[in-house]
Amino acid sequence: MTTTEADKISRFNVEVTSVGGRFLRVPDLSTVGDYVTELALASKAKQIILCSDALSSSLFLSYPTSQPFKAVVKGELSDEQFFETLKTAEIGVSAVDLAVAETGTLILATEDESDRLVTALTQAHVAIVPRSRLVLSLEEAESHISKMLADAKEGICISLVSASSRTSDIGDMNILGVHGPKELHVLLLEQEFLKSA
Amino acid sequence: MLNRIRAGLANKSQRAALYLGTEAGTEVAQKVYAQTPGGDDLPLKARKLKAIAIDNLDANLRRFTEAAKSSGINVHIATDAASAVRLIIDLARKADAKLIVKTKSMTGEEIDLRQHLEKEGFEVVETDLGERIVQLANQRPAHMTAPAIHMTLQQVTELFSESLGREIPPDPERIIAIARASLREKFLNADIGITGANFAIADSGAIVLVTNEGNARLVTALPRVTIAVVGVEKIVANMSDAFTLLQALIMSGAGRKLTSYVTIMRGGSRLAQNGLIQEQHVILLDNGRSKMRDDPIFQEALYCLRCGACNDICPTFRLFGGHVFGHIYTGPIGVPWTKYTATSDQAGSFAPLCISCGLCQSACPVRIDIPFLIAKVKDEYTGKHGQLPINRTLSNYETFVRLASAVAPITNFVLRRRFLRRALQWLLGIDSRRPFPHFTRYTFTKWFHSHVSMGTRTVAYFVDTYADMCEPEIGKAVVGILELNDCKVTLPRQVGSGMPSFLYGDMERTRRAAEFNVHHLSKVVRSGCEIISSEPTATYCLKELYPHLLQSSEAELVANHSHDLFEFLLNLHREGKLKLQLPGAFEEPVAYYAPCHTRSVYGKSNALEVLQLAGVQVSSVRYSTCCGIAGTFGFKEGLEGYDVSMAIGETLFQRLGAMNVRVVVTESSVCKMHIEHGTSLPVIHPAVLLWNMHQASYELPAIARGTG
Repeated sequence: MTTTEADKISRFNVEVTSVGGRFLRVPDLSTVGDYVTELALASKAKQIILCSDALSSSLFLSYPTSQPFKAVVKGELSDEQFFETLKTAEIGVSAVDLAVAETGTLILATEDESDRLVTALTQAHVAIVPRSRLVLSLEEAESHISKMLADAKEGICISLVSASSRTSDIGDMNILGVHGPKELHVLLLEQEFLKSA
Repeated sequence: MLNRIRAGLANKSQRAALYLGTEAGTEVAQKVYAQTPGGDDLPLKARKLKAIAIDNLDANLRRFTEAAKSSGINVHIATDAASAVRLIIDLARKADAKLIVKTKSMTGEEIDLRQHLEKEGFEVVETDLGERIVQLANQRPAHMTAPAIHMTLQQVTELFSESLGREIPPDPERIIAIARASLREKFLNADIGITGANFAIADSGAIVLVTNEGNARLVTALPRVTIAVVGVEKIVANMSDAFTLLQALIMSGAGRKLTSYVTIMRGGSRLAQNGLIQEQHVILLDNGRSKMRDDPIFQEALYCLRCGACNDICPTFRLFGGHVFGHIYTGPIGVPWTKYTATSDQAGSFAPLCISCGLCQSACPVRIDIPFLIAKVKDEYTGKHGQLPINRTLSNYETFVRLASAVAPITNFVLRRRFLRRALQWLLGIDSRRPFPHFTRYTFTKWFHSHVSMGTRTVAYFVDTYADMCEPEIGKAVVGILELNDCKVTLPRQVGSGMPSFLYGDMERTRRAAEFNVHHLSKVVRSGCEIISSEPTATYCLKELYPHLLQSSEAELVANHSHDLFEFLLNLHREGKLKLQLPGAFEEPVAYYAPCHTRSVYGKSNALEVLQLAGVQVSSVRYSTCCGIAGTFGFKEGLEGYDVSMAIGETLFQRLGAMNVRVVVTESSVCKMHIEHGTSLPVIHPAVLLWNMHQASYELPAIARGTG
């Protein structure tokens, strides 16, 4: 790892945590699974919902069914079943398409609103950031975003998430979790994801 | 208006809520700019991009429409508010909608969208928490980005208790949990989601939405139909431009590098509920914007990013909020926007609340010269409805000061007599509680004409009224410090800066002063002289107001060669040439207040740096708005000026008092009068302090010289 790479990761860590996010470097996908499990147990979550991207959907493939929570992958259920599950899920997991170190931003491109809602309706959002998708600056990210827009054939939504949902509309006090996630967990994945997925 | 001012001043809880929110807004924005590499350059970069976008508005609009349509978006053009509302009602009927969820949107407010839709029988729910609060209170937003900034926790608790039909505790976490649960139901069942847009991207047809709460994500992800009401000025060429502007918007508006959520969307996505493709509409709203674009003076108001920074920093907005200082668009930028989206008379009705401190321009992420636009609105309004007699009198301030100085003993005698001051209040409307400065016949100009200035570099001094006719010691100190630094000082022909008439929108009188000064000062600049001023308002006029007002190369020349004394000294310091031989080390700690015109020109205080260089134990008072006196504004009777100026200054006076100093330092003559009046602490000009230190003859100044 070059110094620049280390600086970039360190910067990302600082930016994510400075706005109340949790940041962790994880060596592989099974550690991500452990983290999400611990989070679910600690918060007594009953329902975890996973995006259908290669990383998120493979998290609980071989997980024991004895856990006190359920983990559902989008795509394994009908639209209607999935939507009903989504309404009550406490934890949403998604891999990001890009992340920006300087602003602590996660970038998710979605063509299906269910993917976006996994990160927008749940109390806690766990974002998996493959290290290779971390760029330094917003300027760098902008060219990727323009390309995403140019390449998209159908409707597309690109979400830049830089912190959990918050407001200071009541008495200028900063309160988290207004509409979207109260907690943001960012897991920087070291493992080359394509090999593992 | 006076009744609203009276009610605003009496509403202490609202004042406290407003001050807390707006001060925090200004401070976090200033901090993020200071911490961001290249932050200082961002506003001018952003301004250029907006200028290009507005220049190319027609072409951008065409490109956006084509790109959006080719992505399956239904693009509609609405020339005015009524046609936009009609379009949306038709779309809602066609969709057989019952429940509509909305994000906070100024364009929505501008066209009274919620009210019109409710009248048609639709259930409309605001989902931004602040906007939801004002909806429950049946009010308008009191701030461009923080609609409920004027409300206390207790008031919000009462609103939610009433809406729920049961008592809830005044706990923000509980209120948020309740709001989350109730609004979640609305999101899930909504038929239509209505948003504004922070930007629309011409080359891709995408729109960009900025929120912290994440409500825009749910408003756009769940309903089967989305409608974005977008002002045409929001269209920019490409994503790269949008990103630069986005940073400027968020840094100024939220004091962060990015908000929690930025959503870029183009075309309807596949819905989670049933796999159908969402129907997306974009309504491009003109409603006066083309007229604004075609007005060479007001065009720059279209650069506005709606960050609310001008609301936060404005001294009168901090006191009254947007229900008094605003129509629909609130605060300083609300004046030009009201002129074009409502009427000139509506804009002119609250324009006098601008006291021309200039701070809004310095806080604006695209540096719109808002004070200038407001002065033009005042000018137009008073041209049509007439000027108040007191404003007419005070516009002529310089003549009054000249007369007062010529017969100084009589003036000072008269102004010290309480009953005569009461008569003056009755006759002219000048508040009898406001102390006047001490006038002198022995003006700086007279002294200077018998003074021989020596030095190898010639500079010209723009002395302005106060240092000339009230406190010549300032002028003498300035000359002394300049001569100490090997400058020969000259005094070119000049009149007062013209700011008093600008404050009341008398643009013709302001122009005459500007033309006279620029004519004579440009001659001395051409002869190789730099111009030095010691009064911040004069510096503001020379560097900001005159070039904008006159639009001439002479005015630009004068602006580029004008400096406040301390900028000039710091430049000498950078060249290693500054001489500050100060044998009289000053042991006393002092408090420093940076006048608003210093901050609006330089964004910082040069005087503070020089005082620190000179070894003065100086601490800057924490205060980000204007002190309130605003030239002659604080001299006006009662609610017209004095009461408002004292209410604005309250926080400053308290904080200076808490600093445990025996002397305050500031460059501005009127700030000096106001602070002395509000704190009973003596106030001294930094040039006088430095000069006294040089002469090792420092004595604590007394404030008994003021009359009143």
